[in-house]
Amino acid sequence: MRRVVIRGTGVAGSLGLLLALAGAAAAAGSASPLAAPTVDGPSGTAGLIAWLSERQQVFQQTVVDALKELRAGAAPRAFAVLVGAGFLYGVVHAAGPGHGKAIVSSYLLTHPADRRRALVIAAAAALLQGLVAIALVGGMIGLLDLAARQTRDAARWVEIASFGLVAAVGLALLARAIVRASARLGWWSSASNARGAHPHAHRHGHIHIHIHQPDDEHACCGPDPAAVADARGPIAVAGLVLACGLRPCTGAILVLVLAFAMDLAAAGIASVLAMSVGTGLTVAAVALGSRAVRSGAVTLSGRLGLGPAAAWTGIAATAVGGLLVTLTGALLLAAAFQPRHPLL
Amino acid sequence: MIRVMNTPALAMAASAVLAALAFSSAPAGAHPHAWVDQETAAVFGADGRIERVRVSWHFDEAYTAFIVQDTDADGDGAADSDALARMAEETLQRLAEFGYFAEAWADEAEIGWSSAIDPAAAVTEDRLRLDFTLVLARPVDPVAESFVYAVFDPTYWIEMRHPDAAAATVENAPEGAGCETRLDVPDPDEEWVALASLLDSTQTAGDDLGIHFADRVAVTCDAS
Repeated sequence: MRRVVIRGTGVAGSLGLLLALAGAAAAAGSASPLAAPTVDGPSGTAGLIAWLSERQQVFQQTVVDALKELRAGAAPRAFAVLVGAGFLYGVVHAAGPGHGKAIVSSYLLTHPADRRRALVIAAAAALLQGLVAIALVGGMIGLLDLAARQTRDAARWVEIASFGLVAAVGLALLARAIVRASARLGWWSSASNARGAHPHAHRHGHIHIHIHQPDDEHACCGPDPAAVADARGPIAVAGLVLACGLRPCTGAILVLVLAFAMDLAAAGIASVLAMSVGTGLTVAAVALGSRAVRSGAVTLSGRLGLGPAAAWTGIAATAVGGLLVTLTGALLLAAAFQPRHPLL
Repeated sequence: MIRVMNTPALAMAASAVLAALAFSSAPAGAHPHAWVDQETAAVFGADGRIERVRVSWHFDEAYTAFIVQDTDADGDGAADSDALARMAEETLQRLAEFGYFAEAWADEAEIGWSSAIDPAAAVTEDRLRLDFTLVLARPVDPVAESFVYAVFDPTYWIEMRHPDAAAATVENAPEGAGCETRLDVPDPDEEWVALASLLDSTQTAGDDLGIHFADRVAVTCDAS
């Protein structure tokens, strides 16, 4: 608990620092020649939000300016600006609204996972997001020579698929909560209640997300940990990573379309990879934080002797998390089918 | 110190912060996603009544790059003028379904548009310029009625603002009638700003958002 809590605050602290750095760097960046939103006397949250939303415009203009400089031959400086802007955008953007973090934290708040797995999930999701954008834009504009509009259409379908996956992950979480609850109520045979140390019990061929009783935290020390990890790890983690990372980031698409249009593909790809690193840092912070909160709660309830109550709390948390993630996926899906904007 | 931190309350607080981080929102993906500097003009007819609103949109460079990529048939890195002209026409057709992103009011009652004419597009200094003219469903005499118009993206995906008051003008106004424009800049309530900030580029809050971030132009005539 002690270590965990300290780590938790450390994570929050470094996240805050990163955000502050990002803000300062963005504020120091070149001012946009375009009219920025004028909100008279913004205060409190709305003021902060308004200020942060201007970063989007600053980011876009910074990228455009850097690419133009790069095309004009001012290589090292413009390249550094482009990569730096991508990195900061990744850090800040990932701290914004996102189904990715909701899923990762729902999973890690309700599932035992070692730090390595938490980090792998965060890093893989962030990297996948960048790679999907590079594959989409590189393939469609770079190889097939299609128009930006068609690339956006394709991005839209990938996005719809990823939102469907989000809803599926949410449903899987819900299903696990129901299974666990049924097992505890004795509706299930005792065999299926035997806490998942049997690899053969998990070869169902679908995304399989496990809910464990909080006192399973040390299941790693069970009879055959390697088999457990083999059977459930890769599939659940892959589902999670796909749901979080399949949707290409709009900022990444923007940078890449601009870069390809200006024959600066390599610079665009470097910027997007830096963006993935930035995103990965923020998501990793959230992932480690979620994990720390979970182990803290588990340790605490163990000390207080809250075994059964904690088990039910875990089930309830999983159900609520599953419901939230399912709803998020459904809402994103509904939004994705809205009529398209006339200027897009 | 460590003892003190070792409390359920702290764990709860940490969870709350994390939940807030994960589910709530902040802003980096917020609307708007494209920016337009606009020039508009209330155009008078021969009888001294306002018949049209002329609109000129200057898009930001990122949006322009997308359009150039789409309209560059020969791959020379510049938009083709034929393709640009086609794009302008098609854009205006698509805008028709959205009321041309413009509204006009006479004595605070909304007047529609009967048509949109003269679409034209050009790219200069990496900025796309799109021009068109909206024809009012009925002409308005600004001496007899108050006349106000606003040109804006109702979804607020694009922010459309006049860079300054001089960007909204009157054209062909009757001599000596003292007709001029007054630009009213938006002062959106916090909740609308917050809502806009929650929307990433693929989301929409429907068509009710943009009006809160719209410039309004009033035309007044003071004959004295």
